[in-house]
Amino acid sequence: MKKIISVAAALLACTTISLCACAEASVKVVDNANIFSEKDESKLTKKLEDFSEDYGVDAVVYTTSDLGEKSIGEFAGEKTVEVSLGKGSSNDGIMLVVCSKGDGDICIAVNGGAYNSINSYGQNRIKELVSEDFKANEYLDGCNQWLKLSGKFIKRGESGKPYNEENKYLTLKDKVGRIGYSFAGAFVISLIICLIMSGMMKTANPKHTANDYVDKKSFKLSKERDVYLYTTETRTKRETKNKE
Amino acid sequence: MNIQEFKCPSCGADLVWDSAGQIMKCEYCGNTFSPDLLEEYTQEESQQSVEDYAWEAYRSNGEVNAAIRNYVCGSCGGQISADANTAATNCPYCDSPVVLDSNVAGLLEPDLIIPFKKDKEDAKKALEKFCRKKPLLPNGFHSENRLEEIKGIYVPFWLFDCDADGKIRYDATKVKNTHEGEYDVSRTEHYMVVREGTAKFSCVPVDGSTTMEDNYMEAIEPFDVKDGVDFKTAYLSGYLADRYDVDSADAMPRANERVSNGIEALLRDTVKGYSSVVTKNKSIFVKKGRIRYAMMPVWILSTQFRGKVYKFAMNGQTGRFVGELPVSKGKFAAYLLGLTAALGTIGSLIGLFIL
Repeated sequence: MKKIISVAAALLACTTISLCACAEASVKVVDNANIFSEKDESKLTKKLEDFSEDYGVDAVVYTTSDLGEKSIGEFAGEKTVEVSLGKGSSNDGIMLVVCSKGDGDICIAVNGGAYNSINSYGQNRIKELVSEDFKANEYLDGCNQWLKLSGKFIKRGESGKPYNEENKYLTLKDKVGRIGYSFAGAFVISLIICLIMSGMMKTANPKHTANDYVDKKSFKLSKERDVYLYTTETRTKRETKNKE
Repeated sequence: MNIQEFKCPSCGADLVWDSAGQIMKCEYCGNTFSPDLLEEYTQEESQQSVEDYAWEAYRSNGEVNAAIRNYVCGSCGGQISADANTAATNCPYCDSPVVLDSNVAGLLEPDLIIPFKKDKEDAKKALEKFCRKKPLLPNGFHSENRLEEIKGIYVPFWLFDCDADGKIRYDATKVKNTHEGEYDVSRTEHYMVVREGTAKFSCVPVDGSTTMEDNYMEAIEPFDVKDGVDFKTAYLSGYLADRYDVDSADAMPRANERVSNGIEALLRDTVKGYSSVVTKNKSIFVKKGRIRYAMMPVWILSTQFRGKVYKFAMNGQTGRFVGELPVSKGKFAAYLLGLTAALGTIGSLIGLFIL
């Protein structure tokens, strides 16, 4: 009996080791919501495989039309285990969960060492940038955009300076906006400086008061009253950052 | 029997007597006020008047009894006088030729005259200094402009002496900002501030000539009347004298205005320590007024540049120099664009790489 138990234990150990070694999910696209055509699904699968190879990070897209009673975050957490998300010794993996019901809500799940590059800031930022595509039912474009941005975040993370709250990811639109605001502000400041310089060209300005001609020590205060009347109060609730 | 109704200083609603607290209470906003405070508040609220003081008319000293030549400018109508040894050819104000005119009235003898302390060289140097460090000055201004003869002229001024009483009521606030839990709290304390005072003004000058703009004449102030002396024709030697064409009655409103503004500024300077101060009402009275006629030394410089006359004036007593210089549109645009480019680039770099 002891012999049977030890053989079974050895077999279980071998299975576990082999499972760990080949932890990468074999299925790249799980389209339970049927939002992709066969052609799109194969294109997406190819892209996910290429991504996985290029960055050493497993990548899976999981779609559903029903989250059950769960939030999309809880649902995504379950599915990362179900599809065995992860690759390599640190089990790196990213997964995009798309719910086709309603507004096309999405969730980005990150596994293992990939979290160093796509931290909670990164997940929120990528979600913010790709959400519009999913709301417009442009699912394939949304997935492609998600992969592209994830690649940028991973590459940046590998350089040792991952995007985060202090080191924000800026799109071209953000950059153009910042440059635009800078130049608009600069124009206003420059105009004020030039108008001051222009004003200095004319010094013949009238005098408002006759105080150059007040006799010394002739000014006397005969009444000085400061009376408190009442107090008004305004309360403004401070804005707090949403913690997801 | 009159029953006085009290309004809440905060919201304007009717106040009622709170017998429990023995105090007047606003049922709308909840503020409470003592009866004494309300009485004072209502009394101060109702006072407001600024009277234009009616000065006594000026009594003339008559015309100068000396050989004085009177000239009239055919262009601006200015009437100038000079002693028999000083020939005037051009108008000191508009640079047009002047002609002798024996029909105009003679020069009115002033109560005092302040002799010139600054000479023509001082005026030239002052103009050079005035043009320095003016980046918007057109490049050709120095080389192209034609500086006409610099003229020293005694300009007629009316001098007003008076006392001024002022009482001003201000609404003032003190704002304190704090954080309480998840709220930003701003508490504003409202105050009634009253200031009453008096000041004596001596020799407030008002330009007695329309030929030179008032803003030039006020800008070269102050004149120190302590240097004033009795008029003698000898002081006119080498200088011109402008004849007044604004009589003392016409100059009074400007004197009243400057004196009123003066006492108001003096009282306002005593209100300190508040976040905001707004004048609610004021009562200002001018009294014990006296008017004198004086001649003040002024150097007038006029120069033409690209068809336009630019005027400058220098106080012949203190050397204070004022004027108006042309602004180069090209340089204005270049500075605007250059500064925008420089500041915009710095701002963009900060926006992209630091924020």
